[in-house]
Amino acid sequence: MGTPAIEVQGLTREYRTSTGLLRRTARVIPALRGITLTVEPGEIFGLVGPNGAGKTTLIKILTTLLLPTSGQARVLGYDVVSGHRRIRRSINFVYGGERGLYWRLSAEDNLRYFADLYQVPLREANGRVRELLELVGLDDRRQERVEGFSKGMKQRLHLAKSLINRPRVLFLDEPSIGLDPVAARQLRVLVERVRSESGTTILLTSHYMWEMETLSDRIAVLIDGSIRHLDSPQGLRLAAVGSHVVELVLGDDAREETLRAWAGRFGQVVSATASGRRLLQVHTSRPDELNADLATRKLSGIAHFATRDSQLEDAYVLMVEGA
Amino acid sequence: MYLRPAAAAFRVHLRNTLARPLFQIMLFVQPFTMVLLTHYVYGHAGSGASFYVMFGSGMSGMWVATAFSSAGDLGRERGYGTIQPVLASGVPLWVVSAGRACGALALSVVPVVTSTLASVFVFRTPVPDELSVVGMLLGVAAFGIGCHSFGLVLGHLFLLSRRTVVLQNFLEWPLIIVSGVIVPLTALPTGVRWFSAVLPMRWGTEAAERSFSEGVIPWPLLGAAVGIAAIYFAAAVALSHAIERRVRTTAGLEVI
Ligand SMILES: Nc1ncnc2c1ncn2[C@@H]1O[C@H](COP(=O)(O)OP(=O)(O)OP(=O)(O)O)[C@@H](O)[C@H]1O
Ligand SMILES: [Mg+2]
Repeated sequence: MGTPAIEVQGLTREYRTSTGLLRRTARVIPALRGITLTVEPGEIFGLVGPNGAGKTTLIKILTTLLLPTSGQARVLGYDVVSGHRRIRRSINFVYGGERGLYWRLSAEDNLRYFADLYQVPLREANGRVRELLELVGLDDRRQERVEGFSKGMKQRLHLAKSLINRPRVLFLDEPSIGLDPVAARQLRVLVERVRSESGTTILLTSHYMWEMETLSDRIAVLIDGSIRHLDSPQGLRLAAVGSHVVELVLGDDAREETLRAWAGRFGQVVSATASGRRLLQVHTSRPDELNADLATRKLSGIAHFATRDSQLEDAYVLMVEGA
Repeated sequence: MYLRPAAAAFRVHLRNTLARPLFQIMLFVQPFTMVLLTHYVYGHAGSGASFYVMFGSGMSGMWVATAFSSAGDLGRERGYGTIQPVLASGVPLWVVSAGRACGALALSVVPVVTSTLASVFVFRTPVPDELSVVGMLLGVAAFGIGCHSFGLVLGHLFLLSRRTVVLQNFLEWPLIIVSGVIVPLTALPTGVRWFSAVLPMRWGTEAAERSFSEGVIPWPLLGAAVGIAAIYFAAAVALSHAIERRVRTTAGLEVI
């Protein structure tokens, strides 16, 4: 295999902040504590983790906007510390949120400006701007000033901007924040399309597990600055939860302890509530056995039950709460 | 190599600025009120003071528009969060800020022209016979170049440390005065004159004033103006690299 798109070795990053006006006390916040990972060309790689886990910090380092404290990181074979000018030309990014655009300029002028900064060949630039505006559905509002755009429209414009230089590696930090469900779906289609048409490597973060599960080839779970799990969405799901979740909705007369003990034979049991009712979630890879056993026993207190495939979100909650 | 990004920054500056009502006033209305002021201050002083009536207001307008608005623009870019995406494109910061400042300089020709026309046609300011028009134009241009590079240094300093922004409002008028566009340089106290000697604008002013009153093209003065401006420009480039390094180590422009 050729050069990895992203190669990270023992990467750490600390932030220094100081608080207090008269007596300034310096604090060191370790944001990344030794990250190692490799992303192959053309891969869609997901990063998930709680707020403050260090996802954005990692992406800032890989996009050369922030220096590592120690360790190594290479993008397209170039070191992020010394090769930043080379890297910058060949990558692009979206940081979720409304900032980073010229609000007094039109959508079209914003894109054209970035086309000039990235030195998109002049012959292509105008066509490319139009094409991208069409791609993100802003074609009919292209001459309006960005200040009048909704949050989601600004987000789409960010996305268009991130494709202006046909990046070989694209970093998407919460790209779907503020998008309506239809737009979020269009984003997923778009991300897939960018990868399949241009072979672009994509590093993606999102707090929507469903999105991460459908898009990512592999996912790293980042907790408190360290990668705790790294696998395909399927692999993460099976390892943490099993293939299925059986949800038992408990009646008022249910004896939870007895039911837990019984269900515990098939996998891990988690208590929850839904619509004001008590619920037992059984994480299991043997749902058939569980259902058969349930049918033969006369267990009282189960109002009804349902079996579904496990989801990344089930796994995520377990991994984060268990950490 | 960076001509295209700089030209793009120039265009963005024009679009961005013309969209701001405050700036339209500054550009088109303020020169008239300033001429009114200089006319009443210097109007009785005879043709020896005509330079300050005709050009004092326009050139101070040029100073405000170029040096201060381009310093302010960098601050606004930080506010918009656009500095990061711009840096991330691989274009050095100074290319973009110099491009924008050129935009500001181009716009600042407006107050110079309007205030000069106003003083000639409305206030009938007397003009010396031996005036050198070419020298005048070169002098004002050298002054503009000085404002451009001095403004870049200020703008980058403001970015590097937010504490320097307090200086911004405080500095505007003192710098106009020591540049010699409103008050004759010879009227300044000796200590202040030393200080003004290290400003590129001051030499442009003197060149323009000499062409106006003596009808010569003062090449040494023009050379000094451009030479000092070049030094300031180099300093601005160095500052821009320092900012880029700072941003990458401390995440300095993150927290706003
Ligand atoms: N500029 C900064 N100065 C000081 N500390 C910072 C800075 N940026 C981030 N941090 C700290 O670094 C840690 C990691 O933050 P980071 O933004 O990388 O998290 P994240 O995983 O992206 O979180 P979120 O899901 O909320 O976006 C946090 O503790 C945060 O407070
Ligand atoms: Mg983040």
